[in-house]
Amino acid sequence: MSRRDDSDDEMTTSPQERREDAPRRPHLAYSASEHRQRLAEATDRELLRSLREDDEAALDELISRKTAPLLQTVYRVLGDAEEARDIVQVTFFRMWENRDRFDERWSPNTWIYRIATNLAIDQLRARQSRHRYQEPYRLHLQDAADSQSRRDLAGLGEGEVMGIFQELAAELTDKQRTVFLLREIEGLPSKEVAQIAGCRESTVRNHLFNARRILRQALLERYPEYAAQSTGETP
Amino acid sequence: MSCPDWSTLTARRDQDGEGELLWEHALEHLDGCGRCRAVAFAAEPALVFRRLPQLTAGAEEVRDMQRAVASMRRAQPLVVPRSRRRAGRFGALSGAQLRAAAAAVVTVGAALLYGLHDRSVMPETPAAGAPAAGAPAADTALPEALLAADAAAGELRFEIQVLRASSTGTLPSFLRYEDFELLAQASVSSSPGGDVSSPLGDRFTVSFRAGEVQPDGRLRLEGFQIRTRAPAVKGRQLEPQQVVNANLNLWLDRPLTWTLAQDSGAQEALVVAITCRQPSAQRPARR
Repeated sequence: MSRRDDSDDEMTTSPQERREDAPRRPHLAYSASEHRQRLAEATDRELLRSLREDDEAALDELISRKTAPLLQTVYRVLGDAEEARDIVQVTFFRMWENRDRFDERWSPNTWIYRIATNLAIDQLRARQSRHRYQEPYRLHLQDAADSQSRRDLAGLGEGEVMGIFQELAAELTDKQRTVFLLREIEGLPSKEVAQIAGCRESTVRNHLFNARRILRQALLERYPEYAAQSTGETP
Repeated sequence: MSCPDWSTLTARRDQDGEGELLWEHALEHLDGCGRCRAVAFAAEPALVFRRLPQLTAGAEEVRDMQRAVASMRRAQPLVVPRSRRRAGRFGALSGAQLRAAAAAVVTVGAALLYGLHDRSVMPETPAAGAPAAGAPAADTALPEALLAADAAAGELRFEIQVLRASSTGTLPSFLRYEDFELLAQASVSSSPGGDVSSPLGDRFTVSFRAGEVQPDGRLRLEGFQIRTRAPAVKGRQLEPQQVVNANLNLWLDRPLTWTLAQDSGAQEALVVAITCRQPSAQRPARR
C-alpha cells in the first residue's frame, strides 16, 4: 500500500478524469479520508492484516474499536481505572510491536484479549497489595448494612460490588480470576476464553467451577448479612 | 420463557456444553425478570458480580489513547550511542518494557538517586567541604519542617532526573545495568492542577499538568513530556525530539523510575526518575 501524504485528503480521480484534466489537476494516488473510511468498514482481521503492512491508521481504527471493551475487562481485573488505562495503552503498543506475530488461525479478539489479560495479571502480581481491598471494605459495608434495614445482594451498588469482588477475588488464582471475568462477566464463549487463557475448554469449565465455589463460599462467610437477606425473599 | 429452576441449573451448568447453554439462556432471562432475582441470587450468590461497574470510554478517551500509543511508537532516539557500543536506539519503548526493566534497575537507580553515584561522574579528589558530584542539592538537605514552612499550601515539588544506564555485561544475572550517568535533573514546583514547563538540564525540557493528590497519596500527571532541546549542529537548528509522552500515576514521596530501552536486551537505556513531594501535607501512608 503506497502512501503519499496524509494531507492529500481529497477525492481520488478516475483515469478518464485524469486524462482530461491532466494539465490542471494533480494525480492523487492516495486519499487518507478514503483509506480511513475503508478501514472503518474493515473486519478486525483485515485491520490486523493492514497492521502487518505497517498501516498506522489501522492501529488507530483498532484503538477506536477496542478501547472500550478492553478498558472494561482490564478494569474489572484490576479494580483500578487509572491502572486499567495504562494497561490498555501498553496492550495497543504491544499489538503494534508484535504485529508480525499475529496468528491467522486465532480470532483477532482472542489475540488482543490475551495480550491485555496477561498484562493485567502481571500488573496484579506486581501490585502486591491485595490486602488494601480487604478489611476496610468489609467494615464499610458492615456500617452501611447496619444503617439500612433492607439490603440484599441484588441491591448492592456497583462500587460496593467492585469492592467486594476485589477483596474476594484475591482468593482466586490468576487463571481462575481471568476465566471467571471473561466467561461469566464478559460473556465470551468458552472456546475463546480457552484460547485467551491458554488452556482447554474443559479446563475453563474447571476454573469457572472453582472460581464460583470460592467466591460463593467467601461471600457467604464474609458478607452473610447480604446473602442471608436475599435468600427466599421476593423483592 | 417460563422462570427456570435455578437450583437445577446451577448443578448442571458445569457438566457439559448443554448445561452451559441452558445457564446462558437463564442469565438472559434473569436480566429481564424481577421475580427470579431473589431465587437466582440465593442459588448462586456470585451472580452479584455480574453487576460489576462498567468503565465507559467516550470519544475523548479514545483520542487520548490513540495519541498516547502514537507517542510510544514514534519515540525518537534519546541519546546518541557511544561509538564503541552497539548502535541501539533508545526511543522504541514499550510501557511493559519500561515497567519490567524498571524493576531490574530500580534498586540501583534508587541508590544512585539517594547519594550513591556513578564512578564516571565522581571527582577523584573532591575539595574539602565541597559537595561530591551527584550529592543532593543544598535545599534538599534542609530540615523538612523548614521546607514545609516555605511551601505554599498544597504545593507540589517534583524532582526529575534523567540518567544514562549501561551494562558492561559482567553481572547480567544480577544487575541489568551497572553504570549510571546523570545526564540532567531539575526541581520544579506546581500547585495541584497547575501546568509545568521547565528546562531539564541542558539537553531536555519537561512539561506536564499536575493532578490533584488523591486520599491514598496518588497523583496523576497529564501529558508528561520530555523533549530534547533543539541543538544546532553545523549551523543547522535541529527539531526537538520527543522522548516521553504519557499520562503517569505516581505516589507522593515514592520515586517512579522508567527505563527506556530499545528492547529487553539493549546494552544501554535511558532512566527517567520522578519523585513528587508535598511539603505542606502530612505524608500519607504508602500502600
